[in-house]
Amino acid sequence: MDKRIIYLLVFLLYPVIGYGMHIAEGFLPPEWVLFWFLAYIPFFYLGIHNIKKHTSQNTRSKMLLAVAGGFVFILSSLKLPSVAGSSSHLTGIALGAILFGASTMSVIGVIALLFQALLLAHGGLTTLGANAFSMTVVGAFVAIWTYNFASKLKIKQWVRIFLAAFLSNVMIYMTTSFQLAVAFQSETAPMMENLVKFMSVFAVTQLPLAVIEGFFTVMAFKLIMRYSKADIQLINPSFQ
Amino acid sequence: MKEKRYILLIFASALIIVLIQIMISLNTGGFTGTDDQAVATIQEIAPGYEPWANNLLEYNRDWIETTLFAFQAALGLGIILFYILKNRNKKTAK
Repeated sequence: MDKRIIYLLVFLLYPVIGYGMHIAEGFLPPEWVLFWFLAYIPFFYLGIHNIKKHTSQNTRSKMLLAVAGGFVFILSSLKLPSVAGSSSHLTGIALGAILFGASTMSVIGVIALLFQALLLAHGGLTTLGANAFSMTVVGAFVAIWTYNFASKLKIKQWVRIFLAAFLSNVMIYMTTSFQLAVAFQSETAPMMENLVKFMSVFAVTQLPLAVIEGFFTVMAFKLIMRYSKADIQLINPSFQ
Repeated sequence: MKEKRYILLIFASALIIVLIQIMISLNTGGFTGTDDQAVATIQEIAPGYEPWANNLLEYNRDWIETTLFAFQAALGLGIILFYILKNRNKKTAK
């Protein structure tokens, strides 16, 4: 068996009870629910358009899209224990964003979110817009921007991917903190104070996990490059 | 014939994951999820806030949730294993 699969299995054996990162059902006031849905929908539309383009150009990209989706599924189910007795999970958004472009993940990532909201009581339907925006939009765009910026600096490819996945994970929890801080600001609880409070909830837990996310993404990327280099270069000519 | 072996392999690894997750969920429980911590923070800064929606499905037993989480992981793992094995086959066929 491939060594990589064994590593993956070893990590899968570690999950514990407790979820992470997404805003729980009902815990966002209705006006913000609407706001984040409206903010998210254009990206979803763009994503559908993008996926249609990819699959019509090269039918084999369907398989790779499925792999990107599978990666999100695995990683977002990995609830890892972290420091300070709390647990959270990974996202796996960066891989697909780097391969297919950021908006593609707005569609693929939301499948995992829907699955968790409907079946696992994790996240929620009312907070889906906000969670989708933070994970699949912010996470994906941060990944691709980091990757492109690091490419300009001529950093090694695996380091670029690591940085992209790491920052993507970090920015997702920052966005979640921001969404909560804005929604719950009041005279007694000013926005900035809230932000610090929410960030401190996520930061300690999320940082070590972001490092793990980085390594996983590099691993998955190398795997795909080994088997589907030609297809990837068709989708995105910048890959060597 | 080979197809069958792949399906078996995916099924077997999924089963192992499910079993071990259940075992862990029965024996541990000391870790709180960050989303629950965030909820606690909300209640601290906005004590009057009432959540206005509930999850459609709530489970009162931890292992159901763990199993479903494992099922989610198994789905993703299945796709990726399928991809690896399919391509490995192609390579050896050449």
